[in-house]
Amino acid sequence: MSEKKMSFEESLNRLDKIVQEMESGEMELDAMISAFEEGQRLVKSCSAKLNEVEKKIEKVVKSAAGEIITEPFENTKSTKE
Amino acid sequence: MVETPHILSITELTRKIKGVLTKEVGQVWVEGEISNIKQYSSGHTYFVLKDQSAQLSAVLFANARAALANTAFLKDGQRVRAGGGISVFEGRGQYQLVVHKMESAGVGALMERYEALKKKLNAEGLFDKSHKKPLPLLPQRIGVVTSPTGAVIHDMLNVLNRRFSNIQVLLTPVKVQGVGAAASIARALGWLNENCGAESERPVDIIIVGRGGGSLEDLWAFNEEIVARAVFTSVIPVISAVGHEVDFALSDFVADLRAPTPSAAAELVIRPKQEFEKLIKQRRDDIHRLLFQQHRLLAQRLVQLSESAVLRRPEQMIERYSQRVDYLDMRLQSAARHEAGRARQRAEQIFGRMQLLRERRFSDLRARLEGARQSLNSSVAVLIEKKKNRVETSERQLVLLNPLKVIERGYSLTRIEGGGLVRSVGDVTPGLSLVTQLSDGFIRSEVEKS
Repeated sequence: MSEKKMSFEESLNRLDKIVQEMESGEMELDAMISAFEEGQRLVKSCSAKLNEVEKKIEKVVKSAAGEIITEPFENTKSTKE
Repeated sequence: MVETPHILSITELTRKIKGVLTKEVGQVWVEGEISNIKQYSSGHTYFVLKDQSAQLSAVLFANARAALANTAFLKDGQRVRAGGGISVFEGRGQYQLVVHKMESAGVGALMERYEALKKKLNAEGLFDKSHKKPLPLLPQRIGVVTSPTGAVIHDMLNVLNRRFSNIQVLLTPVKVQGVGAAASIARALGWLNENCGAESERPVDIIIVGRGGGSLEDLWAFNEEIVARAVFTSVIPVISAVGHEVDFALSDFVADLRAPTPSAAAELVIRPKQEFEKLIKQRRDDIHRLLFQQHRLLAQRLVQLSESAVLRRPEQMIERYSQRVDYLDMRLQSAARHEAGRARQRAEQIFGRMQLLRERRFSDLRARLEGARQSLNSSVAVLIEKKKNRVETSERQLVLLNPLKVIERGYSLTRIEGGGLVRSVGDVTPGLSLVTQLSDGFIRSEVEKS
């Protein structure tokens, strides 16, 4: 499975698995090195995913034309009715 | 004379009336509809409770109001039950109910409807655990279905912003109580599923639907069948967060997760960013540490090996083995010799015995052969003797019968010259040549007359 397509959760799980395998002590040095490399890539992609989306708070409204669109929503505290 | 009645002051009368009412009526519970409700800056609330034909002034002092579990029913038109003491407000000459406890009167009928619907939906399996979907670990976009005004949305956004600075939220504003609220909520859930599903450009991967605290009537929209079914059919996972901790709306049972309050939902929906970052860093440190450990271990082993006698003086190893081989070889040889000797002994034994056997048989045979030969010889000798005798006998006879010997006695043999013997006179004719054989020669003659 290409690492680009893996969801955050899948990437994290794969990373956990790699650590487990490396800890098991049954890995040859070569296998450990490639596991390490894969782990590095996953660390990088997981970190990237955390910062992938930019902050956006939106609200669904009906435009003047009658269609449903989204517009930014201001989080200002309004007085209670 | 007319008796003058005892003249009371207004205050005195009022106080008397107050005493009577307080003593005679005292603590009561009443049910009626609220009207003309007004809360003053003092915090005290004044209203009128009425039914078809009468009305009662009532006051809910600030401390009593604060003690109420919820105050959503404090509106004109609400049917309520109020408990308190009957008293008189002397300043106005008004009797009133000083309310200590209050609740919505509509509760009974609504509770019945709630229980009935709960039973029905449960029987259909809408509450089954098997239908509950797992929540995404890191939601990319959070959908919120709630009122766009009020504290709820703002509290939720505050919590979300605190936990994850670059969060994405889409609010679908709805009515959370009153007429049309249930339809509004159901519509919003449907819209999100239709337009923000997994295949859409910017999908919403989790929905929080909810509202702040209130009375059963206030929360009623979330107990409506249309909302419960909308939550159930939502492909996007739903967290239901209705009212306070103790409130359980039907949407709570159907949802993939229930949160005790909307703010709690905001906490449940996503972990703080630092937690994720920490987790990732932990794993990164793990793989570094593990590789380093392994590397160090192998390096140590390599050093050990290189320092070991074997690698430094490999001949030592060979020498040791070489000696062993020699020793074994020697043992093998002696063993072989020993074995060979024994084998040879045995062979010789066998051979000797064989030889003996052979010779015995040989002599046996020889003896037999000798015996046979001897008997043969003697037989042959006998036979030869016999034959010799016969031959001699025959010889003697032959000698006697030899015509030539007969001839010696005076007989002769006459033959026709070139022909046969003359045995009779008829065999000859005059003039024929004859040869007569005597013992010492021949006589030729001619026939004169026969």
